[in-house]
Amino acid sequence: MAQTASSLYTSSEALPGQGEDQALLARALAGDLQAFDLLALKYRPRLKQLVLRTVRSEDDADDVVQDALLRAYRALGSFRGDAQFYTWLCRIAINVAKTHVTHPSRRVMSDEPVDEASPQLTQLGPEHDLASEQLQRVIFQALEALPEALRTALTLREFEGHSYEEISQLMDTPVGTVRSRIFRAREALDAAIAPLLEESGL
Amino acid sequence: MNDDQKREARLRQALSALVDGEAHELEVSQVLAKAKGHEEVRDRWARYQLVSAALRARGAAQGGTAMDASPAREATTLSAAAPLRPGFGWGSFALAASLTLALVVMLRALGPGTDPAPMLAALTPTPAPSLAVPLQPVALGGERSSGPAAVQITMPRAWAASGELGPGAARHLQTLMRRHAELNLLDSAGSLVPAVRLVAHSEAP
Repeated sequence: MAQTASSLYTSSEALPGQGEDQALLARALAGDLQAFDLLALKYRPRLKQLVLRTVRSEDDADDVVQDALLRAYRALGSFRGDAQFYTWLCRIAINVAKTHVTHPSRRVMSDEPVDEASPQLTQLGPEHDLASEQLQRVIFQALEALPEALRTALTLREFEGHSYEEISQLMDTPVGTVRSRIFRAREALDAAIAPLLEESGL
Repeated sequence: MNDDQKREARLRQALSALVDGEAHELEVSQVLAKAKGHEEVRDRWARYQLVSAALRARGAAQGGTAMDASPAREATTLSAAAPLRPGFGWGSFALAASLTLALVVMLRALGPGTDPAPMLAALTPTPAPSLAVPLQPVALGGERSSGPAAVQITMPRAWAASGELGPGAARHLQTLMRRHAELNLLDSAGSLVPAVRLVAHSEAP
């Protein structure tokens, strides 16, 4: 398969708002490594897509993203919150990618010793050998197959970016129900892509 | 469903809520504690993000998102907005200018000293375009053999590009007409030939 699942994270994707990251970000800033690790897991594929415009090779992109995330973690204290966290990560990743291209000798590769305080920056699951088109098709087939209430709740959240409170008003349903519906919808989509991910060994 | 399964389901629901930034503090703590030693939680988080990305990519492609801005999206928005429509609406501007000049001619016929501003203000029913575009100079050159030199007034390109004349354009036209009246006051010949002439970008030398 020519494309990887990470190519789902395209520039056309509507990016998450700062609010989504707030809880994890606050904890990461307070020194919670696990919180930063989840943020890193979330943004790694997007960052990889970004740096692939500069470094061209997937292996190099992985190295650059790993380096960028480590630098971001070490520099987390300098993040002031006046920009989106992802924007801040992008700046770091772009700088690392430029350095990677223009000064190969300055590369900080993954074999650099990582201090124990650094978060576990593991690869995001489905990165390789999975066609994004196929994945998208499966996801949308599963979405279409959902009961209407679940599909509507997830669609309002993911397509329109509404908060749970807004969705509860739009659907005239308690917030707890909205939350449950979105969860059940996600579970269904997750179950639908599981065979594909398993097939790809991820 | 036994207690363990219920706990597991609650944790997964909390993880889903965390994806949306809607998890409660206690749930965030529980998820983070669980994620520390359990690859399954991290994998599920990654898969939820993957599904979310796929859905948002489709949503963005359909132009139906209302998510927060990001640099990439801002750039896309700006680049999409900047070119505007081809064949911009000079017709509307020319029509308004013609009306304005006709009004001035009429005022001149009625007599000197008449302030055209109130009447000009009524000539602008359309809303102002909201695009912020760099100012583009427009040459307003006198064609008369005598009188003051040509006047240079800047006009936002967006007016021309949008094909609409709004309150901003009205104010600008008022400025233009006041200048026109001043020029005519200086011109003792009192000619009916307009003191200024609107020149389109394409006509400017």
